[in-house]
Amino acid sequence: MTRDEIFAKLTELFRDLFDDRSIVLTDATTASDIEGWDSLEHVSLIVAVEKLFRVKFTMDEILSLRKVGDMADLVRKKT
Amino acid sequence: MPPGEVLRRKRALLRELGEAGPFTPVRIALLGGSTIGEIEPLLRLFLLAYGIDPVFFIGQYDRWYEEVVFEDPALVTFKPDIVWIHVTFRNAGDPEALGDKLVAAWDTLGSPVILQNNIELPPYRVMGNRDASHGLLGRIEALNRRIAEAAVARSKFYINDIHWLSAQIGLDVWYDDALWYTAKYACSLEALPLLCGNTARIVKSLLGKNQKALALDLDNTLWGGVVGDDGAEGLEQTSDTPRGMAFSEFQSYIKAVSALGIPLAIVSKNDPDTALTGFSKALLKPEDFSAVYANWRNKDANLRAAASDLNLGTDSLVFIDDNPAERALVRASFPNTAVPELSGPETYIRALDRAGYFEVTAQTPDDTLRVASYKAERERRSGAFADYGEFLRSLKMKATFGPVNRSNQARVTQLINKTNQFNLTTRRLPEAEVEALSEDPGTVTLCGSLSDTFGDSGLVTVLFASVDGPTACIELWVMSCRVFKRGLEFAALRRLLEILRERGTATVQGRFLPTAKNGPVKDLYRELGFTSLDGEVWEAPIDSVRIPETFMEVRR
Repeated sequence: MTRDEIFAKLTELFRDLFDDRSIVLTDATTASDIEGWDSLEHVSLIVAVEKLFRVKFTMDEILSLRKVGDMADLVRKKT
Repeated sequence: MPPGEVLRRKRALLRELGEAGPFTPVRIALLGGSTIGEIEPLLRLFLLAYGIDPVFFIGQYDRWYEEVVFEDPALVTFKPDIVWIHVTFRNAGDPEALGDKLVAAWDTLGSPVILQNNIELPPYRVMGNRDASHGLLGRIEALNRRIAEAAVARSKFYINDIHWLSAQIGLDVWYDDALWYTAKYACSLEALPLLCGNTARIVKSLLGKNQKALALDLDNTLWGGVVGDDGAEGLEQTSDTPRGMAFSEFQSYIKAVSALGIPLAIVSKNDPDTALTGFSKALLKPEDFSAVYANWRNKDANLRAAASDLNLGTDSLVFIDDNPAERALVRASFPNTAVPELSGPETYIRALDRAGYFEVTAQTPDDTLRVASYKAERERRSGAFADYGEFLRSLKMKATFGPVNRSNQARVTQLINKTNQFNLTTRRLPEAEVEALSEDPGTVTLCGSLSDTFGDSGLVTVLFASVDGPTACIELWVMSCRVFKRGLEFAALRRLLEILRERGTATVQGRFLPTAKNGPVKDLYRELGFTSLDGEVWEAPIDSVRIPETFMEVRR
């Protein structure tokens, strides 16, 4: 999967999860950019990303994920 | 909806469900030994779907014991109707100590209903199998017995059976260790919709929102086969065959449901005189049913009548039918009637059981919650069909007609020899004779198949007409009961008359020979505008035949 394809899928996921069709993701998008992305939702987001791309993150990876760009890189590495 | 989908679309679902209503309010304290987090929105989602709008008190992380036993002022002021004590294996490192703390909490809580988790099996066994008797596993089983005994001894006390839920989806799915270490969730997010759905079922039962009666179709729902065609002897409902076993166990499940005080109703398209003969070898008996509607009317009309007999709204009913088109009709007419999806008979019990329609919370008068009044009958009309024709149109039926030939004569023969109800002359023919007639220049043969949005019914009708100069006579006309009430007989006759006109037919005759089972078609020729010549042969000028409107695309 290309990085663009991963971004497209992530964008759809974010839009569903946060119920906001206007979300546009960039490499630098973090929790502070999206309303509702708090520490609790972060956990749900990670689990949803795992499910979407059929990957499993290690605990250390989960703890290190902050930016959407990192998320896409990690998914790319694992798929 | 699969759990991943619920989790992903949670916000949109909450928004959509929140727009419905009216809702019954309830105040629930969620006290946990682990993260509540996603449990709150998911439980709200499932409760809204039951017409319940909850107000939650969310306890502090792992402070359930202190909040209850030391009567936290915020909790006391909240005045919960229900307190859910969400403890799990993650709090049961010392099961006996946990049991003592639980008893102290139950004793402190006065008026609210207690919803108490039991404890799921551990994710690991230090001693392996010996853990069951000498280890943590055995101690947790003992704690669960203690909780079960409390549910028997105490009033206003109900078990939230996570021990069973975790077994249902499997411990390896239930536990997500990374999620526990990083976010202190006791179970995986994937398990949360199951957990919250289960909790919501107890709450809706406590609020009197259970379904209250069970309406069942007969043929291929309660027993295997069609009583009108196969006869009582030919039905599968005993342990002689695999299908018979499935139907037999389903009947015993229904019997157990009925023993809970749930009235049963029959809602079946069937011949009223023969339908009940199907019970001769059944585990259930006609007297187990409080309302019986086995006739040729549409299911929605019969369901409404059955509900009225039981003094219930249609929204209190669960409707069980193997036929997807009937399910769609009932869903459209009564959006609040519970209509579970079914496939083969081996799926019936699970479909009914998992939905928790009749979740039992045996109530004493003391248990009764303050229930805000809500409308008993609120059938949303959106999505309902204006009339039956509109329903038929929604099925997007496609009928295909053609002559009998080598490729279909085996199925044609089977249909001719098996069909009893829509069968005008009940002539039985061996395949060789079917083949001979299909090649006979003095005979017009026609067979038809039907498909709709729910699938393909295959070849379901056959007509044979003999042609003698300007007169043609329909000697044989059969149609499978799978497609009753779709108008296929009219489309088939229209096609037959087209063919006969091309062959110069001016007068059409039809033969009707009554049998014990073909009562449904005894007035067919009269309704089509034929007049009786001698009680057996009916006749009409070809242009005077009155064929009702049909709602399907016809192909040749």
